[in-house]
Amino acid sequence: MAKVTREVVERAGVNVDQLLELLVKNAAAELTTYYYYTILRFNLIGLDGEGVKEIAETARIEDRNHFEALIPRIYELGGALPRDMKQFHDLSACPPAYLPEDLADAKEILKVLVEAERCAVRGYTQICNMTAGKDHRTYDLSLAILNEEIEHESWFSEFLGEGPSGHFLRRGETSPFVSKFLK
Amino acid sequence: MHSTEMRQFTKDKLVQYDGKEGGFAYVACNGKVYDVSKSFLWQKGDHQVLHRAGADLSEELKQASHGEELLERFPVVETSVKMPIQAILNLSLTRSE
Repeated sequence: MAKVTREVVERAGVNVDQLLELLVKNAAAELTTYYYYTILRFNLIGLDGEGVKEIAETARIEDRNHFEALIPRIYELGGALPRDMKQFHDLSACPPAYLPEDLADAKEILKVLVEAERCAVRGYTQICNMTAGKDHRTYDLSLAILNEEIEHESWFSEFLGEGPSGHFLRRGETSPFVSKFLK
Repeated sequence: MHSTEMRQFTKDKLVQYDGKEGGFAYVACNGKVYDVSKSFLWQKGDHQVLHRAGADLSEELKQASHGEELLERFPVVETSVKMPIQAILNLSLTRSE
């Protein structure tokens, strides 16, 4: 733990224990999403599924990057991951992104994907709200993740016919916002 | 006429549905009481670290990163149409002062 790192956040008025619980829950959401998106991506097949496969894969890898980026901050603030991975799964900030019943319909898979991203957007918005102006490093990290989750949501939303996402898919790189935390 | 059992909730009664020890988890919001017992996000009556079942969360919802539309996905526990839940909660608060 970084002692002074935690102290300055506490002195700024943040309940660090609550913040840590939220960070651990969102880290769980990222890792479980990485797992469930693997299954979803494998089932995006056929004419409809193939077009979505690439963005599902990008979101999958970036969500794993989010997990990797969150862990050091959790330990810096004096927190820790649960010893039991099953417990970690069940405390996720977002529900499991289960494969839908109707595998033939890529749209059903897209709905699962967009809901998962929306949950993440809400989660990191909450953390940003808690830490803005008080815990600069966690805010910076959460904002970076939030930027990528917003783009994930917008891609899936566009494929669902809800309007333009406003930007291109990734061109070669992944995690343009979070990568600085992975070095 | 309602064929289902009509239930009124006072603040004292609602607090019993806090989702602890395997019990039901109810949350009140803007005049309705929702059953969130089966939600992955309300395990043991706790939601995202900061919110607890068995209470009126109308004010807390104003600070949340989502609106009531997410609660509307859950079943509404029947309340009396003659006395909205907020009135009941206010009455209970007045009596306790």
